[in-house]
Amino acid sequence: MRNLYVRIFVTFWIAMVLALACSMLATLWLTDQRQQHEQSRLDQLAHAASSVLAQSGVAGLRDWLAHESVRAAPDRLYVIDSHGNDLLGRRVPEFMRARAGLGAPAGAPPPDLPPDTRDIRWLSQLVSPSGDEIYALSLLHARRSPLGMLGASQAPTITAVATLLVSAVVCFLLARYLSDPIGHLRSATRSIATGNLSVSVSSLMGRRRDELALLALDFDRMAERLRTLLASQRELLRDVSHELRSPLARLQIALGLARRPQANLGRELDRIEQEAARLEELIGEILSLSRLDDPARALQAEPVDLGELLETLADNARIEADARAIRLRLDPVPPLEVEGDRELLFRALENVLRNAVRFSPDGGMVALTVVAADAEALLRIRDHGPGVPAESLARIFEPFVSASPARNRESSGHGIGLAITARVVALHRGRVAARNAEGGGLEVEIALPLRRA
Amino acid sequence: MQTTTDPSDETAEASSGSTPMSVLLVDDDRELCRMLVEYLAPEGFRVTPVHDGDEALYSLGRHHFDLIVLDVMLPHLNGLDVLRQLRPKDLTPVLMLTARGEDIDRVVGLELGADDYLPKPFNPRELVARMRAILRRSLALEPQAGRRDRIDVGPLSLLFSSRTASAGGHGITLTGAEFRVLEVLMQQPGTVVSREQLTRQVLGRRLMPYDRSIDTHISNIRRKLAAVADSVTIANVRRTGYVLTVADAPAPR
Repeated sequence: MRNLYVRIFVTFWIAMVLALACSMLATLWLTDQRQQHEQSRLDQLAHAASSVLAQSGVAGLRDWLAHESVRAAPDRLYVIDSHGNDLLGRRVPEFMRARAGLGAPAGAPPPDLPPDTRDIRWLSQLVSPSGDEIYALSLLHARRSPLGMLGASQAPTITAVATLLVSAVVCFLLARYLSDPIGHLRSATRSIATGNLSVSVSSLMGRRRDELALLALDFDRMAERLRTLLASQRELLRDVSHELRSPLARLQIALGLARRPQANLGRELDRIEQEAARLEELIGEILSLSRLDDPARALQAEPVDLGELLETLADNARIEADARAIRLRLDPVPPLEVEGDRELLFRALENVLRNAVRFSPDGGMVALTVVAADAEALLRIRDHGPGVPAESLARIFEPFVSASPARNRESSGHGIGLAITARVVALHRGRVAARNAEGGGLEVEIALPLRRA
Repeated sequence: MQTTTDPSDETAEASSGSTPMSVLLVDDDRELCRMLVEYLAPEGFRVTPVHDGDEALYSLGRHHFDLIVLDVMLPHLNGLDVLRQLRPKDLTPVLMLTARGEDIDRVVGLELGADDYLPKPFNPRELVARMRAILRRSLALEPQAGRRDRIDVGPLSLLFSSRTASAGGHGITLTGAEFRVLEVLMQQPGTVVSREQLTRQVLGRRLMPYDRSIDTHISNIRRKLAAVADSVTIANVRRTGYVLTVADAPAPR
């Protein structure tokens, strides 16, 4: 019984058999009821006929018969006199005429009669008040439909066998109909478990449009999503290893230079330190990126004052900017609050701002503006650097996309900061976009939903 | 990475390099290039750094270089594309810098005619050793007096003057390394030549752990031979080495 297919089959079949048994019991009970009802009707008819004959004589009986015959239709009610003639002059079937003279007891047809006469009820013998005329009151049941006739005798067995056969076939088909797609889903699941993600179950569902077909569609979608996720993870891993390789290669050469007798040790150690710091920064960013990717991560939600956040940010960035005489302009920020994780938002904005400072020419300017639009805070960070080729604009928020030859590794080192920004903003249900500003330079716009007061 | 270069070998080479060798270094990491220029100068290399494939092809069209050190990962035109445009008309020796673990780059690069490869990050001393080995070999290929002009084994002929092989009237185009592998194997047909020996004689360096250079060259040669001379086979002998045999024509003992 562990097999779903057998289970469905057996369950349905047992249900069918039980239903059949119940219906047969009910039929028996109903037949019994009907017979009792019939009996009382016959008794009433016999009693009424006797009393009419006793009170009103043959003429009264004739009137009563005419009236009752209409009421009894489609069954036929006869009163047959001793000559075998109906009181109303209707033609009396021969077998009835033959039986009438014998005066058989009511409700018990003799066995030698043809089978279709078994429903003749001999209700009563009626004796006229004078006592010289004997009438037979008889009810001929209208012929039932053949099935109805059958129903009386061997029908229960035939019905039972037919029901069992039909239900077996139907249950067999139904069980297959239900268990086949599950089998497909199962083999697809197994194939995913072995690492083959290029499976499609919905194509095996034929023209089904039911819940199982929908499940198959969802399954395919899940496999597709897994496929892209895995591919992007693999790509990220490749990029990460490549990005780690560059500082390591420089580290090795710096070591080689430092080992020489004529080496400028101080300079080489500085280089080594710088590369080690780069490696550390890179690893930290990769870790935080993977943590941001964790879907189980709950976003901390606290009110964050944008003005305070941006001023802290600008103060931090000024240290770097002042060294290269870059002017950092922060317009006065209106009192705006967003809801979210202050740490993450700080990091997200810092990455953009530091990029802007990094790509600004010495003595250039970086502008930071905030406005409220609809229910959003719009932050714009604009530099006057080389900008980004139009075709790369959408991709600079992906990890490790080197934006342009001008923004090359010499100055940027690696391209993971903006990817972090994009994920943090998405976590806060915001948007981030980049465009080349008029007059040169890159403008990054971040929209964050404002906190509802 | 372990240090593998024999120091005595290095000093001997350095002293012999009276005229500096010109090297084109193609790598998009500008800082790395600056450091390498500085490192390689006292070793007797005059290094010209360029940072992408187009720039590399431009420089190669205008100047002669003794050696190209080519990073595979380059923006736009990558290292393999550069190699594809270079070979076979330009036979300047090429040392590829590949990403560690990206085997396909190494295989494709050697097939396209790179002479050797070095996984990045590398020890600069190892880089110098490989550059020297390649230069030594390319000098050794120059026609020399008293040297045999050709080797014949069965239907296969190796022609030193044109640096090609031929079999049954069909020419086979070989890369420098492939030519030298065949030379070593054809000098002693029927004899197993170990991978160590092949690496030393063909690549001019020691066999490294996980070093698949020789195996890649052999499989490329096999493919080229199969097209024109199916009676000549290079068999792998119990992972120790390779042997060249000719069917139906017993090799000279």
